[in-house]
Amino acid sequence: MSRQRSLKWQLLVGNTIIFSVMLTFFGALLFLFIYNQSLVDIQEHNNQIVTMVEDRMDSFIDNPIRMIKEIAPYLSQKNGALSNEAKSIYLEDVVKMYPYFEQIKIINEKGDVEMVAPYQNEAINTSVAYESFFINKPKVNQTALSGVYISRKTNQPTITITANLGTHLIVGDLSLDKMSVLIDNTSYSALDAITIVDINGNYLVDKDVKKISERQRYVDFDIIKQSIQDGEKFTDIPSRPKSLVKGVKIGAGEGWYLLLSFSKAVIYKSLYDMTKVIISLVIIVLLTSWIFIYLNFRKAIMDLKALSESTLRISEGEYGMLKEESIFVEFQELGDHFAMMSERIEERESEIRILNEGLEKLVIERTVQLQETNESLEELNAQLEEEIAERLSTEEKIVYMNQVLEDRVDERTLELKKSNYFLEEVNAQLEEEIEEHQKTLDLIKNKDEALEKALLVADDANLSKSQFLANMSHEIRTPMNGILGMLNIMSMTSLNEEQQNYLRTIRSSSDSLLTILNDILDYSKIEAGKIMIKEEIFELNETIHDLYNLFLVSAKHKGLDLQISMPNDFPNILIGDENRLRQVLSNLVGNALKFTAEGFVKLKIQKLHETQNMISLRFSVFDSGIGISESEQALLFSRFTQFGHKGGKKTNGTGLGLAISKMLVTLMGGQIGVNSKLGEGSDFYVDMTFEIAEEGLGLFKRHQKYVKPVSNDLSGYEILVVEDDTTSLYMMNIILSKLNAIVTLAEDGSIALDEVSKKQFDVIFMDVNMPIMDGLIASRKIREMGILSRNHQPIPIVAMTAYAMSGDKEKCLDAGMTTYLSKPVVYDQLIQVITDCAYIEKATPDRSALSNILESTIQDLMNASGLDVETCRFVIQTYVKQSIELLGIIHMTLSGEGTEDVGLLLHKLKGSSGNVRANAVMELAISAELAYKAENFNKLGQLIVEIEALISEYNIIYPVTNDKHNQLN
Amino acid sequence: MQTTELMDASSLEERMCFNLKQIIGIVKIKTGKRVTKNILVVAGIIVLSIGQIGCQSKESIKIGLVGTMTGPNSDLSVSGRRGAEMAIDEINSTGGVNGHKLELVVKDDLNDAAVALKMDQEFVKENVRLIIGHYTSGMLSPNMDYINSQEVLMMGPTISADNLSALDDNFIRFIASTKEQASALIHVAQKLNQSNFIILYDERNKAFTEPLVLNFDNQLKNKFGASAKILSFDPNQPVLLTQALDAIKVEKPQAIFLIGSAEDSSSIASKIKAINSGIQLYGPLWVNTPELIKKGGLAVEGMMIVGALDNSNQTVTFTNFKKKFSDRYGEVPTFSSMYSYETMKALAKSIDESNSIKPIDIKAKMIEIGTFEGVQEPFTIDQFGDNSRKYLMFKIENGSLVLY
Repeated sequence: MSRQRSLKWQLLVGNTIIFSVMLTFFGALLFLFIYNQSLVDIQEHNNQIVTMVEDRMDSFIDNPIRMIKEIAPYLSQKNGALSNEAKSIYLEDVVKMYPYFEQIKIINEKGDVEMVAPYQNEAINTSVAYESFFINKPKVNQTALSGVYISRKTNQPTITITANLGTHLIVGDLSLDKMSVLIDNTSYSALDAITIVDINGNYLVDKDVKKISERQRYVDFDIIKQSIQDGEKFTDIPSRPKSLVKGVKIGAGEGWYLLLSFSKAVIYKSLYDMTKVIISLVIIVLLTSWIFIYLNFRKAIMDLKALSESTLRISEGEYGMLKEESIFVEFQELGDHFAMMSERIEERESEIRILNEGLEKLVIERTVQLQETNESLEELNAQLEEEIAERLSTEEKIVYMNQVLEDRVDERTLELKKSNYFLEEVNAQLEEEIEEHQKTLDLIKNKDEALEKALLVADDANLSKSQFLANMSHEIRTPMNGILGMLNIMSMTSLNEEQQNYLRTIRSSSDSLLTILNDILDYSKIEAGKIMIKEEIFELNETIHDLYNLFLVSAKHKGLDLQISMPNDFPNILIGDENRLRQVLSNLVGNALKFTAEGFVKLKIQKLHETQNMISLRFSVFDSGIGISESEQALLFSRFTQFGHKGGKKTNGTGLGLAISKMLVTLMGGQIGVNSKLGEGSDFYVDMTFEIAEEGLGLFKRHQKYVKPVSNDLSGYEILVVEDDTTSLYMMNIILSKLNAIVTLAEDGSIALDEVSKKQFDVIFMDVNMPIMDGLIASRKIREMGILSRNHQPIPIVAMTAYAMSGDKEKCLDAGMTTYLSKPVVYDQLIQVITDCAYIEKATPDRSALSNILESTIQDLMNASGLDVETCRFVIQTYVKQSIELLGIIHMTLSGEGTEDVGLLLHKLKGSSGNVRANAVMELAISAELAYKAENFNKLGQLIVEIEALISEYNIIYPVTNDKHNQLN
Repeated sequence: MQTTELMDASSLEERMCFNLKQIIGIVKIKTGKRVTKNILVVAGIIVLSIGQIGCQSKESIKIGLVGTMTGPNSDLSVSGRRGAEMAIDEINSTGGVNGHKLELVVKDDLNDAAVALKMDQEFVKENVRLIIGHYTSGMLSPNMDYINSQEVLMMGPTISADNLSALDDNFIRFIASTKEQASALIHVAQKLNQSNFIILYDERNKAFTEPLVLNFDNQLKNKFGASAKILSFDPNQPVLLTQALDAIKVEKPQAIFLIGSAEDSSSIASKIKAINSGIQLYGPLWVNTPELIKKGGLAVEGMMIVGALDNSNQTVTFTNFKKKFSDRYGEVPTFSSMYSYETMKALAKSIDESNSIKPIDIKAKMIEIGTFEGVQEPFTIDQFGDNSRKYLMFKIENGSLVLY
């Protein structure tokens, strides 16, 4: 709400302000007008003065120059009518007319003075060429002014005016001290001073001659010059605060400056007067207007006051108010309205009073209630304030914490940015490296693929090689089959002793050849992964014992001591592949015997480690042989490596024995190795782990090994042989015929089918690989046809194949064949198979017990030793020979010619018989030993005769020869 | 004592200005209510303008300049005065010295030693105690006793008199001594192999001329073993000159060392050349003004004169100085102009740095500063207020000075 003001004062002040502003405005206009008028006045004076000065300059300075210009050519005529003096006098007249000229010279263009006034003879013809006025002479028909200098004649400030007439210079020296006449002026009171300065501001003409004679420069001339250039009418200069200066350029060429100094006091006097008048006028008008306005509003304000007092009375409760009379209509109406309002207020007031009394009671009640409520609210409020204060302090803390956190976050962010930048760099490097690495990987992958391909090719090649070897063995074995079969047949014919010797030699060589083939086949089988390691229960004692017996003869034969060293403190019944173990150990012992010329060969068994179920054993074969060099040791277990020495005894064999042994040992999860020094013997060892079998299983297994005896009389058998190879067919025919069988021959499967449909057979021998119809198809057909044997059983079909590879057997069985024989077919196997498969009722069984015993002996020996049949035959031959010698010694001793212990000899016979599985002889020998110990010599005699009879039987079948047998590998 | 008061008063003024401004600032900050604010702002503006008037009206520092301002021998002083004027205008246009404008107070010694003393006394009376001048040794040397008795400092842009050297007095010289002038001249004489000299000197300016005559004669003896004939002149005694010219006719010297003002030298030169145009003329620095060539003309052609200003100097400072001077006065500057200009600048710098106008302080400050930037090259003032600038030698060739 704005401040309250008095109406009276408002009217007075408002009017006063309006008047003053308007008066000031008009006063200012008036002031400006007068100011301009006075300037115009000065300007007019100014122009007058300038004109005056210029006029004077023209008449005093320019006139004489013009005059001289006109007469100069005339004066300078050298040969004219006027003498120099006359010319000079003429010039002097000019100087006298114009007293400012101190001297006037006429100078030729070389700078020589031709004429001078006042006349000075010595000055004529002097050179002024180096004087500055000559050097700086003006252009033709122009005039130049020099600076102020002090004349040496007058000692007064002087300037030189030079006019160039082309041929001559007119040079006038103006005495500045005399020139004040130029500026004489008393006509204008405002004009303080008139000064003429040169273009640089140096004083030329001034009332104060000192300024000229001291060659002073007009102070602040630069400001004036600038002001003239800017077109200002007057210049206010700091050095003359009481004056206004007007600068005007006068004269021709560079010219001079006329500086007029006006007194400010004089110029502005009329303006000051005018201002005084205006101000007094304003004050007078204000005062008078104030009085008039006051008088004018006085009556209205008085009426207003009366109304105001009436309303005051109403407010104090005096309602019966008198009507105010006013000459102003507006105030009259206002008075009437107030009277009306007064009456109505009176009525309302009485009503309100009644209401009010009731209300007051209520108010008191409410007030009490409110007070109570208020108290409780105040308490609440106090609590709230406390809480708020706590909240606030907590908030402050939070804000502070927040700030700290933000700072930290900022710091961390900065650090992270830095490390991020670093990481990005590292990352970029890594990516490059990864890319390179990827390239390398791709390269490696390509190489790997190439390698895999190469490996596949190599594997294929290896497989092909194994296949080739197998095939080759087959191809060789087939004719070998024929040779061996025929040899067996031939040995049954009546031959003289010489022929028998030849035959034995042939058979021995063939046996060797077969062994070699078997080796190769074995190796190929192993390499091709076709050897299966069996898990059988066996007695280690038996195995070692058999081995000892097997090589005892050979050792003796070579004069070597064969020793076995085996402790009794570990389990004897184990689970493993006994045959393969035997094969490995035989190979090692056989090799040791072969390469030891004298001394011993020792087989030692040690326990390496034993748990409840498992036992690890080391089988070591020591010898006192030639030893093996370290370089040879490295190659020892490789294929086709024979060890021996230059100049040493050459050995024969395939060189596969140790390679096969190593492979077998590896297959059985063991290790094979050698310790040896050249010349100090060798120690071959095999480390193997076996599972320990439960007690009681060993015997059962052992009995299983016994094979039922077979007869070699096949009389009554109807046999069909299907074979495309003529030799094999012929051999089969002869063998079976010799055994009294009735043989039918067929050259391929289709012929065989014809035969079986014509006639009943007891057994069919079927070759697998045949032209026209092979054995497998033929067998299937036979089974389809439901061909039966003579005793009404499905006819047994025995496959004969040189495919010694695993899987061949399965193919045959699948085709319905009964069993399987590997070529070359061994005579005994042939008989065994026939005996096993085909049962016939024989009308006259003619079995030779002796033959039975012999066959079973060989079979037993083969089973026990794992040796091939020929070796067994050789072992038995050796046994027979040894036994005959032994018996001879016994005879001699009993007849009193010898000193040997018969009991011991019998014991020995018992042992060797057991070794070669000549069980009948062994039993007789045990009985004989007992009889000898009981000194029952009669019985001893009978038993020895029986033994001799049996040995002689062996000797008939396996006659002892003198051949060396070097087949061991 | 009065000068010290002046300085104190002015510093008080400065303080006041500062305080007023501060007060206004405070007033402006503290005013909150509208009406109060308006009143205070108006009051502030009034106070401020009063304060500024106070600040602007700082008393100016008066610098005296005394020389021969009128008459035929006024060229050296007038030319010097103009240099000083130009320096003052430059200083004032950039705010003066410590806020004080410089004001030049010029006095004319009328080339009269007695008047010169009177003028110096007037300066002391008017409390103008820093004085540039006089311009010739003759105006100063006789009054040195008075000068040294007063608390004043005289600074001579052109006085080279030897008898003022090496004294711890109230005089500082902005030009090297006459001894150096003599050396420069003898050096040229050696080059030209001229040893047969007559020395003709102005008797009126003995303070300067006699030491120069003696220095020159001594050095001539040292270098050539020859002694010069010494003659003098005085325009007030024309007979002396006549005698001298007669002597020249008789003696036929190789060279004349003419020691006088430009005015006198040019007229005497004409007379000598009239006797024998082959005589080589030598002149001191004193004669080196435009008047010499202007008035001497051919008579002074070939004259060897000592110079202190190289007109062909190409430094920026000199080029600017020369142009400014010519624009201002319509004439080229002389060594006197340049030395006076430099003297005024050196004085202003010393006042500024010593923050005093006491002559003793100014002198100490000038010696302390030691080396000042000159227009053409730096110059130094030693502990005695002496100066050992190198003089130049000029030859007048075809009406102009050529550095020799």
